[in-house]
Amino acid sequence: MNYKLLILFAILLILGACEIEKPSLPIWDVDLKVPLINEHYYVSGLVDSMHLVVDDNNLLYLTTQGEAETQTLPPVEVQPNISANDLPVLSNIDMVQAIPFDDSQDNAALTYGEIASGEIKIQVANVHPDAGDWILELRILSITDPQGIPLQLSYTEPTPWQTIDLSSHHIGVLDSEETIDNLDVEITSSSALPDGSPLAEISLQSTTPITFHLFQGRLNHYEAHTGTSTSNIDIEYPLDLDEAITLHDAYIEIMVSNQIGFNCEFVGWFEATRGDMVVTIPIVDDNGNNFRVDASTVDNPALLTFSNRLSELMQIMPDHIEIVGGKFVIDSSSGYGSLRDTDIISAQYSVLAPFRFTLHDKPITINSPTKISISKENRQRISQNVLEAALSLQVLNTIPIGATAYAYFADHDSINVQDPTTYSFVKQMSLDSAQTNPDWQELESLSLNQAELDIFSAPDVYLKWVFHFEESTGLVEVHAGPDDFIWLKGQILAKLRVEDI
Amino acid sequence: MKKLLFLLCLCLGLSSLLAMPSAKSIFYADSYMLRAYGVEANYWNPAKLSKDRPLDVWLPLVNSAIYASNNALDLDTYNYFASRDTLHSADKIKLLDLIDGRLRVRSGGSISVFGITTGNAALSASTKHYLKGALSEKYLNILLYGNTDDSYEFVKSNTNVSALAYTDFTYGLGDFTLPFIPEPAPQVKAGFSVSLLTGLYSIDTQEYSGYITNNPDEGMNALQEIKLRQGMGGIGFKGMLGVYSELLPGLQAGLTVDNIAGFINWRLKSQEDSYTFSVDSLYVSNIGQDFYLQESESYDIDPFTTTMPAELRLAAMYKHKYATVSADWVHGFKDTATNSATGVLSLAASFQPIKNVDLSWGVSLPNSHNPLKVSYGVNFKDRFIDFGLALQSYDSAFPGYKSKGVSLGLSMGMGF
Repeated sequence: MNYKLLILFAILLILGACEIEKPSLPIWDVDLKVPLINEHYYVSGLVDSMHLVVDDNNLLYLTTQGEAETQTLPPVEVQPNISANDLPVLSNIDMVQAIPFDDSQDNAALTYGEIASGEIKIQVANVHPDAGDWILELRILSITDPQGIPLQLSYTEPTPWQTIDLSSHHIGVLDSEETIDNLDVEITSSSALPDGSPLAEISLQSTTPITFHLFQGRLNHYEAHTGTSTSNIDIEYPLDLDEAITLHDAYIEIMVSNQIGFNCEFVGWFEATRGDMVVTIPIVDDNGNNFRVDASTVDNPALLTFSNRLSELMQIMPDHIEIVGGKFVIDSSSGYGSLRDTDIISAQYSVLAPFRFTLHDKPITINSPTKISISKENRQRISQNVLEAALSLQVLNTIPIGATAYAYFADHDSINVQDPTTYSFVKQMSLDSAQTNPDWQELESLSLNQAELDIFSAPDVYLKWVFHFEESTGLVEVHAGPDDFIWLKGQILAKLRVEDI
Repeated sequence: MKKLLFLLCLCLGLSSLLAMPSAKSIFYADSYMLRAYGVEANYWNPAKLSKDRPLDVWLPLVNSAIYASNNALDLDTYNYFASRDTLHSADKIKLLDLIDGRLRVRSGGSISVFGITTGNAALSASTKHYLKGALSEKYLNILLYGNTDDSYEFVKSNTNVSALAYTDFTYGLGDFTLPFIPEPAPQVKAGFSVSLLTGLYSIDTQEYSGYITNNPDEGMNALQEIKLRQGMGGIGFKGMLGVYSELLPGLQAGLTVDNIAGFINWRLKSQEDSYTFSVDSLYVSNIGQDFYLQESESYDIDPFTTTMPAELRLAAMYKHKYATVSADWVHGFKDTATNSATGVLSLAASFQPIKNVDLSWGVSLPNSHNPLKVSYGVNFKDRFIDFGLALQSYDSAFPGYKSKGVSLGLSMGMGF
């Protein structure tokens, strides 16, 4: 049997003689294409109805709002300068005296007033010694209490100058447009003297101003100044955009809510500042006249559209605009009206700057670098497995702005784009404007070689962007309609090393 | 031996292997129809169950075969790639050239349970299992090169899996002389066998489709859908008819039709499993945790039937005093886990260099669907015992570095 075993052994030897390598995974490289993005970025997406808005023609506007409001109104004063002295009072005779009531400053013509402060002095003197028990009653018919009862005073003995506080009294008839020229004073008396005999002498004086909670009438000149705390507009241009564009048009819409029952004239100036530069222009209409605001338009605010010379204001790309010297003036042309001391005039105003501008080749540097944190696991993968990486991007740009973007990479955040020693490498991509290239554009591939990929072995990688706009030859107008977009599509191309993935 | 076993594991599957009713056919590269006798004839040609033969007994397990192969990698190629630190472009090209559309693997085995003959009757049982699968070359292309193309499409013909295992209980009768054949025309012997099949498991790919597209306009889209049908615990049947005749002294010719009305009906458990993986319009910019959809579902289905298509085999054999040559042509009628619809010609020779020892050599000629198979066997036979060992190489004349698969056959019978 030995030879049979020998044959069997020979067969096994045939197989057993074969060398079989221990299995091990070799290393190889593969190319991956991964779709990155396919998105329309509509300009209308920027519209936030707050700072960026569109008009009916889809023109994009930069807008910012401010408010102005009158300070606490100064009281309307009437200084009547009443001086009626030694008026004779006849015993048992009723009589009515008209005492002149004129504003000695000739500023106000009162038709009705609710008195905030004021006084009148009254003196009763030279009473006849034979008058016996006597009484003298005085009723000022033009001055009433809130219930409409005329101011009434009684005297039974001589009285030196007595001051009567008129506050919370009313003068005249509400909503009457008839100017109060006189105070009607009714005097009645009773004494033991024969009828018609002189009983006493009465004097009335008022030399201090009378102020009103509510004034109705006419004013020759009255000013209500706007405050300063709420009337400022601070403009923050994103990404230092103001360095790279010059806006050509702007106007301001002022919505005025007037509680004063007088037609007013608005007087003021817009003052725009940018650093040391200051531009001041008067707030006037297209004819150079001050705006006038109708009386009592609380429920129907007046809209003032102001554009004259405002482009001059915007040329400096101001970062601060405020109304200076703002005031509402009531004058003789305002006519009859009413004014309550709690009334205010408020103005909400919006600066509207259409995106119609000139572009300059001025770099816009994003000051804060973008921090990209990379996990340890991904750092290892990038270090070991990624040999090359690139972005293949195509862009369809329908907006009239082109730009070149520069991306500066470093493993620290102290990137100075002027100093190559502060960053590892820089990549750039250029996008033509719609006028320059209306078709699909192949962006230059943002590729990273092995040496550049090494930076991603750091836990944090910093990316700083700098943009250069394509300088425009004329005005650029940006719309935000359905056809205004940047369509970006592309994919990541990577060469990976298959090794312990 | 470890290397031997490793080689078997390495070469999972084979490109095509026709039905392997018994271990002994490996000795002759399947040119075995007219060589079979005893219990073996129950599977190869029942007409050869002869009353003149002594009692033949199969012992459990010792008549077994196992095979595994693939269509791409031989040992040399494996060693080449296993020893590479880095795969370069030329290596990738070489590997993909070898794959030729899809990586096909097949494996299987046959194990005897028992067998006995008495005169012209035989009763036997054996267990057989088959597994074959294919994986599209495109998957390997992606693995080696990445997704460099914009789109990839995958179809069932290039990516699929199927398996079948069953135990047969076969009874055969033979040695019948066909009537009405006038002398001196050669007489024709006939026989038949019937098999009761008990299905163990079945898996086949009902549906498979897939694609990967990748472009900036539509993003990455991917779909992989597969539906597998599984069955366990089946019952079935198949029949076989065989004839042969000695046309001239020493020259025999025969014909068999196997798998007549062959089927297994899976009743104990039948289910379908569907699996779907999809990615829809994926971009890195909008990638999220749920960027893919993965669904799997299993549900019971009505009992189903696995048919076993009929298979025609023609053979001729010439026997000299110490040597025998044979040729078999086998043709299935449908591609299944067990059959090939492409005809295969096998040739074999055996001789007896010394008493009681047969050396065999066989070759199964390649075609578009089947690889070259070359067999070497040695068999010891005396009055009581028949013992042999065979080795078959795929796509290589000799077992070794160029083989893309191997079959091992172990045969042992007892005669009384």
